[in-house]
Amino acid sequence: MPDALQRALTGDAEAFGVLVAEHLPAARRVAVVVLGGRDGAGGDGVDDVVQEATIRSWQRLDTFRPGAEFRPWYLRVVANTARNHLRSAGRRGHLQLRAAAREVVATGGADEVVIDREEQAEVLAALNRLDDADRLVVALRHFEGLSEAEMAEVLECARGTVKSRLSRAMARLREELSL
Amino acid sequence: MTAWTDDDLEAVLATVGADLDVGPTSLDAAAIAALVEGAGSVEEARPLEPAERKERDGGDEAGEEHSAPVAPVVPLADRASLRDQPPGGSGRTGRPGWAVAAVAAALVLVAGVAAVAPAREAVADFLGIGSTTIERTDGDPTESGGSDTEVGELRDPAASGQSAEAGDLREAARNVLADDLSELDRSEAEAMLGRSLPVPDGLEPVLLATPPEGGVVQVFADGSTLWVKAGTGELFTKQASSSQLEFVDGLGEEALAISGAHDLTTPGRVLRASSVVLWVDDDLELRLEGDANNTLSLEELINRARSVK
Repeated sequence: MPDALQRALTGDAEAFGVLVAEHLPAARRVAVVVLGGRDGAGGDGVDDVVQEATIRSWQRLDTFRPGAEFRPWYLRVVANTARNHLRSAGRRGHLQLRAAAREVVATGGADEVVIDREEQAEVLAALNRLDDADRLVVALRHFEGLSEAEMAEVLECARGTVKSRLSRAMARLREELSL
Repeated sequence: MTAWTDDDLEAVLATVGADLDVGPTSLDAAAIAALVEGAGSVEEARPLEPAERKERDGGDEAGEEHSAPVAPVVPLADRASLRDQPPGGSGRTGRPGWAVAAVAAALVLVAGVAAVAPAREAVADFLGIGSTTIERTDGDPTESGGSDTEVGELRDPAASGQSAEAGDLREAARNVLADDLSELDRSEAEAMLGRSLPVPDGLEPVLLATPPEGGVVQVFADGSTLWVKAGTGELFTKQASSSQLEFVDGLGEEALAISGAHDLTTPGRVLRASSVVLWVDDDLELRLEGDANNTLSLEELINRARSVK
């Protein structure tokens, strides 16, 4: 959406809306991952985090670097806002990430579907035992498919640091999976 | 219990992300546009005073976007009315709201489908910190990539250690690091870093120099070195086995240690390196390396790294 981005940068709220709507699913996932659940941070929940982050992004568009990618920049604001909500709530999110209830469309045999759901539940439970920083790193990479450079933008660190953080988070996830 | 391969784990993680329960939302492009218009523009934004920011953020100071004022969050119940605002009602221009909403709905659908796809890049068997990538090797790292002399010169740490024992610290520094070090005085080194020189507690460098790869190298009397570089960019690769690697807690923003001899590849050479602690702190990358004979234990190196100010 380079056109929407360009127009948004000139103060076009409608274009900004289109731009943000494109990244809304990712933003909601990031908020949920940091909060530890969709109703995290003292009941503020993902909706309030994403709304606040969206408003902050709009008000801080003047700090957006020309030529940069909007998605990591926006997700950074979402992640920071979610962390602030956690701190303001005075506690870490100890809610649980959950898989959305949905109809499973079987692509293989019934056993295969059951196994997949069991594996998913196993990984989800392990993710829930990680802290929000580790969860976020894993999510940025494996939920959102962000590159190292994009992750560095979201996490506000060097690319090399992204590698070590991801490696460490994945090692912790593996530890949890082995319990 | 499942035995997880990297591929299996990544594939399941992708499905976890795709199926994550993020709840329903009534936000769409039109609602977002109305929301931000109601919040005020960039020009209308007023930086918060520190006290206001502290009250708002619960004391958090992280992230520049936090300096922006925060408009009231619109309760869920009010969002329908946001969507119902007439197109252009708040000075907005352009297409009718329903058309924007339809485009946004399509985009959300596309984005959702895209999110289902697994991360395209597999997690490689490497990690890194700052400008240093660390390739994990199986077995003895000094018997693998380290023997490749095409990239540059591979040096024997024992040789440089002998030089250090002979008291020629400068020569030792050149052997450990590079032939083409350019010596610096302290003011030049600090000008290069843009700040005062970080040094371990109680130690003063006997030599300051800059190698072709950049940054400032401090050489200490016991043959250990501290390389400090500002900024980022991938420059170095270290080859080491997993058993040599460990994360170090409580040191800078991120820290790694490599125990024992391993190889360091720079853009122009391959060097044999000793135990080392690497960390990133306050936009500086630091690498504290033991003497060539590894007379400093890794624990001593880590303690020394922690004392750097």
